[in-house]
Amino acid sequence: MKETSSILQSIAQCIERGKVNRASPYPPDLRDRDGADELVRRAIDLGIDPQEILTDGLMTGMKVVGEEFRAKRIFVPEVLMAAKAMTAGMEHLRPFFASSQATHRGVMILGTVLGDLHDIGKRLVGMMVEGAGWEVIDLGTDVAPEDFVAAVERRPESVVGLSALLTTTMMNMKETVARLKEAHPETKIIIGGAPVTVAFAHEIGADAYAPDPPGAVDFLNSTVAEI
Amino acid sequence: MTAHPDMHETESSVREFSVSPERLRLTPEAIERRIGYGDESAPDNVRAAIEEMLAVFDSADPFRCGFRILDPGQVAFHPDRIVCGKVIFRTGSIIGRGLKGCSALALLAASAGPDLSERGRVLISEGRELAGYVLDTIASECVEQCLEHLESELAAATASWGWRLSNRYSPGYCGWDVVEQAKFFSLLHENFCGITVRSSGLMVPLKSASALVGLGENAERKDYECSLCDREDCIIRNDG
Ligand code: B12
Repeated sequence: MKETSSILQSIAQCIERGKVNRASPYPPDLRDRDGADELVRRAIDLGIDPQEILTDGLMTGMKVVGEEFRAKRIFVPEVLMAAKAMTAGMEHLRPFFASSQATHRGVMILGTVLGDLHDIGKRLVGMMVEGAGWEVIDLGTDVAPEDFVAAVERRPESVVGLSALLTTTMMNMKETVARLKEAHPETKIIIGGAPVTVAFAHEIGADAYAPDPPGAVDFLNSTVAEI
Repeated sequence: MTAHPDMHETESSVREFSVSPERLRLTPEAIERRIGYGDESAPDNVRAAIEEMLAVFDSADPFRCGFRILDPGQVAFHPDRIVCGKVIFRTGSIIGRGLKGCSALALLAASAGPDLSERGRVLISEGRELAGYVLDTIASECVEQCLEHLESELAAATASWGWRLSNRYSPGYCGWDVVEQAKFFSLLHENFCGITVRSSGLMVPLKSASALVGLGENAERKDYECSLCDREDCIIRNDG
């Protein structure tokens, strides 16, 4: 249906451009136009399947944001605006899904490892992963290996993401990975942060490394069957 | 600072400054660059957030920074290390080359304090992610500018001795392991500029930085530092 595809496209565009709602003045060329908030509402009223709104509207937009960020055509602020627009759209969709599992592709447990207090990079990963349709459980910073293990115990289906910003604190990833793999050998672990490399990921037995949030999303999606 | 460099450690070799936000004069352009926007300007809403958060920055309490000078009698330079009495910095050869000709050493530290990043964190948790991120970035730029400020104070303090300054090198850069941060701070008095170092080498508050600068009549500042370095995969490499 033409109307369906055009409204889904507009929703995707609102995410790409960070257009939250009609009241938000940014971006200036979309001033006084509907944003993700109003358009998702309208799509629901038109009877479009919520799952379709989520995947072909919101997530399609977020995918473009990831690609643009990776190509350095946009930067963190645009990603934050996109995530905000995404959240505004999601609010309308939530009631249509019986459980959080139905709205999510999977769960990611995210945290900055013991000894390290850096937060912002990890949060960005969390926001973009959420935007890609995953549930994110953010354990915060300075997280001990046993706290990661306990979190996986509560949600055994999770993929774990570890962050560190210094070469010294990065060493604590090793212990965390070892403890997690010992307790839950099947749990997939991805690591990241400024000093981390793919070689280090191999060395400590992590399943993957990604330099940025879109890389984390790619890895997460590769761990589940496409929907 | 009038003491002669041959004089061994006295209180005059340690100086701490309190730098007001207006003194650092952070510009919206500098913050845009730090976020990643090169020559093109940032979108209007980002520009607006930067201006709003620079006003918050301007009302912040002064920032603490300072240096200690180790005079020629207290320090020996080697191609890959610097010996300061019992403390040996294994800086590696890149920094070793950069310090060629130096006879004295300054240890620099600066901190934006905990307030700016804490306010940034609160903004983010209140749903003002952009403003919070911008304030966090401003705090990073503030630390860099404090180091720049220290360098000019250092130049002014030592110019009358005929000393010049080398480039600035930080633990964790140019092959110098960040683990040496603890040694670095062992040469400064406790809680220097409000900074404490964790066993991992992490400085608290997070928005803090440390660096050394070589001093002496033959100290040299090199322009294209990155080309000296052999770490091809370094993320801050900028030799094109
Ligand atoms: C700005 C900056 C600073 C600022 C602020 C730091 C901060 N984050 O608050 C200041 C000036 C204070 C600073 C200080 C220092 N810094 Co500094 N700093 C940087 C710089 C230039 C950018 C960091 C940043 O904020 N990036 C933006 C955020 C949003 O990105 P991010 O946290 O890296 O996260 C992204 C990715 O890494 C990834 N990611 C993060 N987590 C995860 C997790 C997963 C699972 C995945 C998949 C991806 C992922 O996605 C995020 C979004 O893109 C980096 C170099 C660089 N280009 O990365 C060096 C860097 C982090 N600093 C470094 C060092 C050494 C230091 C100091 C020790 C220097 C010193 N002696 O003073 C101090 C340490 C401070 C302390 N508290 O102990 C090193 C660390 C490596 C090392 N040798 O240990 C780096 C990598 C530079 C280098 N040498 O190459 N620094």
